[in-house]
Amino acid sequence: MEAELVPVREGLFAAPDNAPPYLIGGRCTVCGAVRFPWRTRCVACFSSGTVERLPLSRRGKLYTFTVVRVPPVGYETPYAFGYVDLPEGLRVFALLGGDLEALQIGQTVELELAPYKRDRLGRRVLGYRFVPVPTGARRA
Amino acid sequence: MREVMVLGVGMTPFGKFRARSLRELGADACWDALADAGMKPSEVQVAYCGNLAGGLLSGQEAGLGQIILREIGIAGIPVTKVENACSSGSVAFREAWIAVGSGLYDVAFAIGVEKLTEGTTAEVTTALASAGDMEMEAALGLVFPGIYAMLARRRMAVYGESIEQCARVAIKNHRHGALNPRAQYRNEITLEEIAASPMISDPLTLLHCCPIGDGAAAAILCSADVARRGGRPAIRVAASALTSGLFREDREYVGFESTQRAAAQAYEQAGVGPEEIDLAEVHDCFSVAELCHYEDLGFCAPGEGGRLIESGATALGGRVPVNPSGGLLAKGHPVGATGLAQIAEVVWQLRGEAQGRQVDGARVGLTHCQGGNVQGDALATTIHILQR
Repeated sequence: MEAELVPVREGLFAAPDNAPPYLIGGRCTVCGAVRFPWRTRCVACFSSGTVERLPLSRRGKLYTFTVVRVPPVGYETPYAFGYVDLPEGLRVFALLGGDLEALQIGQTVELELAPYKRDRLGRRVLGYRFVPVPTGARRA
Repeated sequence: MREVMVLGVGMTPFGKFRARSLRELGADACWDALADAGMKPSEVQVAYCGNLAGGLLSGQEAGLGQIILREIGIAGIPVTKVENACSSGSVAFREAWIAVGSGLYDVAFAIGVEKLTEGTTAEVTTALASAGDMEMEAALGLVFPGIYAMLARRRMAVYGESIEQCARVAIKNHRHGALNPRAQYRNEITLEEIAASPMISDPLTLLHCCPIGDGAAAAILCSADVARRGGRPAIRVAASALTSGLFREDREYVGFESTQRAAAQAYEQAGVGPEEIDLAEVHDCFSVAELCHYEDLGFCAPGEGGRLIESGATALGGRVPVNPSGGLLAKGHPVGATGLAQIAEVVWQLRGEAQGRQVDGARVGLTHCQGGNVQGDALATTIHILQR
């Protein structure tokens, strides 16, 4: 039997049935500030109940990255992470997938969801990661 | 705030001491500091103990300060454990400074201790990652070597810095550490050895990273009146600054904004500028970090860190020797002890007692200790300026 799959944290991302997954940001209807992840209050203008959920762009540019060779508990190496700049003005920390040896600063990357480790109960943990978009690929 | 003096410092050697417990290491450093200050345990009025991973690795999550102090016959006084990631020890020092500076107490103990050899490398990496956001970045796999690897890669892209320039920091600090009898590593290393050591997190190999180790350090702080009565050479705390990061997403991740702000505050408090610093102990947890700190502390312009290390200005004998103790890279980084070990080194330097690695005529020294990371900036950055 396949092990149970749980998200790394509730409310970080959505996976609609017939559409690609996205990260759930928040936009304040009073001051316009956009943040990730979504929070009930705006941490820019401190308004309450004014932050609407905003599906974030699925594509961004790789700002910086590393490939980890010595893992913490629960991870297999190599694995990669970095920061991805999204058009909304956000810089999001993310795991990275695809050919790790070919990663480059500035390349276009796209969001996907993938299990990446097991938790202490042995459940598979679902996280988000960005993978390079092949050069010349059309916008999804 | 009234004037606060450092009357005594103590430090165990740093290294892998599997047979020695957290409390034994802490007690050793306390006895050292008391002897250095010429004080009895009964004269201490308040104490702060810095530690990061004692709970995760040794199971001593709570009450560590009281347990260490009981070993040396101190009981009954207010004792508080301080946790602020890798800056825990320097924040314990800052709390002691506030306690005496406020006039509430005349004699305060600051203690820092860590025992990392309780765990495997994976367990220690995991414990240290708890100084990140365990529901976001660290939950996804962020580890500290990776943070500095990302920083190094960004500096290469923005400034054209090379991995060899980063390696020069490790070479210098190992050369300094070889002169320090308390350093974990007392061997010199070469560019070739650094490049050939195992890859930890691209582009940083093992010798770009500080080692896992154990140790403790402590300081006795007191009022100017008490310092005069003691008749021992006291060092003045000219500035103490602590910042947390702004965690901005719209800046270049090529250094630490939290360090720039802490430095501005500390220089203003002390009434000195970066050009008046005779030596500095800075948080070189990874080689590239020291290059960032040169810039953020004002020792050189942004982007010039790589050229500054190449110039020799930050080596012993240079314009502003940085990490004469060997720094975290060679002296070692038992995290909770680090901030107080930096204080001890600067006190010895200002008293002219740093045999073999003495900065001639040093009058003003700076310590910089940084912990934790979220969104590319530090959780806690502490800067102290000491003056003789």
